[in-house]
Amino acid sequence: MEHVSIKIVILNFIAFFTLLFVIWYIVWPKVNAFVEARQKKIEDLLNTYADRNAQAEKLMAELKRENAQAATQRVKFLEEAKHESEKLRQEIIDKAYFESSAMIDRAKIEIEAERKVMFSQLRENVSRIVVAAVEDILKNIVDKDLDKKIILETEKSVNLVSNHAS
Amino acid sequence: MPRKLFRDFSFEVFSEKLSKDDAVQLATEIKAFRKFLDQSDEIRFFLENNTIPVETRKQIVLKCVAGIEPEISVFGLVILFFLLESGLFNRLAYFMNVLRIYLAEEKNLMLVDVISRYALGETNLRVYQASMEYIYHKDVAFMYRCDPQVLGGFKLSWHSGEIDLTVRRKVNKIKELISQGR
Repeated sequence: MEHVSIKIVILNFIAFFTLLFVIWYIVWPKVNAFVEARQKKIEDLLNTYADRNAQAEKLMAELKRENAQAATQRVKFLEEAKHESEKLRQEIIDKAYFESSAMIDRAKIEIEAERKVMFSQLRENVSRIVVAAVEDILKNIVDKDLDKKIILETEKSVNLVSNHAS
Repeated sequence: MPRKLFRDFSFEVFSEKLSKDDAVQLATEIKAFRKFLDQSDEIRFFLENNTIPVETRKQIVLKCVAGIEPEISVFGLVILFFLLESGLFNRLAYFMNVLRIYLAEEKNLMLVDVISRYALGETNLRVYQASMEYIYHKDVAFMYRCDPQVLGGFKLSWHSGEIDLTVRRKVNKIKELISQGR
C-alpha cells in the first residue's frame, strides 16, 4: 500500500476548492443564466404554442360550429329548393293542364263554329237549290188561269174587312 | 215637311187640275221615263248635269219623251221641266214620292202600285180596293205593272205600306225556313 502524503492531499483540497470556487463563481452563473434563458425561451415557446393551440382549438370549434350551421343551412336550402321545385313542378303541370284544357276547349269551340258554319252553308245551298227548283217549276206551272185561281184563293184566306166595306 | 225641297212647286194648283185618271197616268208616265233613264246613263248624266243650260236639257227631254210609251202628258212635262229649272232633276223619284204623299194626305187619292205576273183587271182587286178605301177613307187608284219575278199572286204597295200576296214571298219564306233549319 502506497503512503499518502499530506501535502498531496492538501494540494488536492486546494485544487478542488479552487476549481469549486471557479466553477461556483465563474462557470456556474453563466451556465445557470444560459439554462434559465433557455428554460425561459422554452416556456415562452410553450406558452406561445399553448396560445396558438387554444386559438387553433377555438378556430376549430368555430369552424365546427360554422360547418354545423352550414350543414343545417344546406339541409334547409335543400328542403326549400325541393319545396320550390315541387311547387314549380306543380305550377308547370297545372299550367300545362290549364293550357291543354283551354286548347281543347278552343278546339271544341272552333269545331262547333265550323260545324255551324258548315251546316249554315249547307242549309243555304240547299235552300238555294230548292228555291231555284221551285221557281222553275212555278214558272212553268203557273199560267194565267192558275194565277187567277191563286189570287182568288188568297182573297178567301186573307182576313179583310171587305165585309164592312161592302 | 218633305215638300220643303220642292217649295217652288205649287202642289195645290197642280193637284187641282189633276184628275184621278190623270194621276194614275202621270205616275205611269214618270215610271216609264225613269225606266228609260235607267237604260240610258248618258242621257241621265246630261239631264242631271246642272252646268248644262236648262233650255238645252229641255230639248233633250222633249226628244226623249217622243220615243217613250205611254206618251208623256202635259202634267209629266210640267214636273220634268220644273225639276230641270230648279236643278233637282236627280230627285225625280223623290219628287214622285212626295207628290204621292201629297195626293194621299191632301187630296185623298191613294196611288197604289200593283205588281203581278200577269195583267190584272180592276175586277180582280175590287175587294182590296174597297177594303183600302174603307180603312184609309181615301180614293184608291191602282197602277198595274207586270213582273214575272213575282211568280204568281200580286203585291200592292203605296206611300205608307204594302200588302205582299205573291208566290215569290212564299218561296222566299220557304228559303228562309230552310236556311234557318226550322
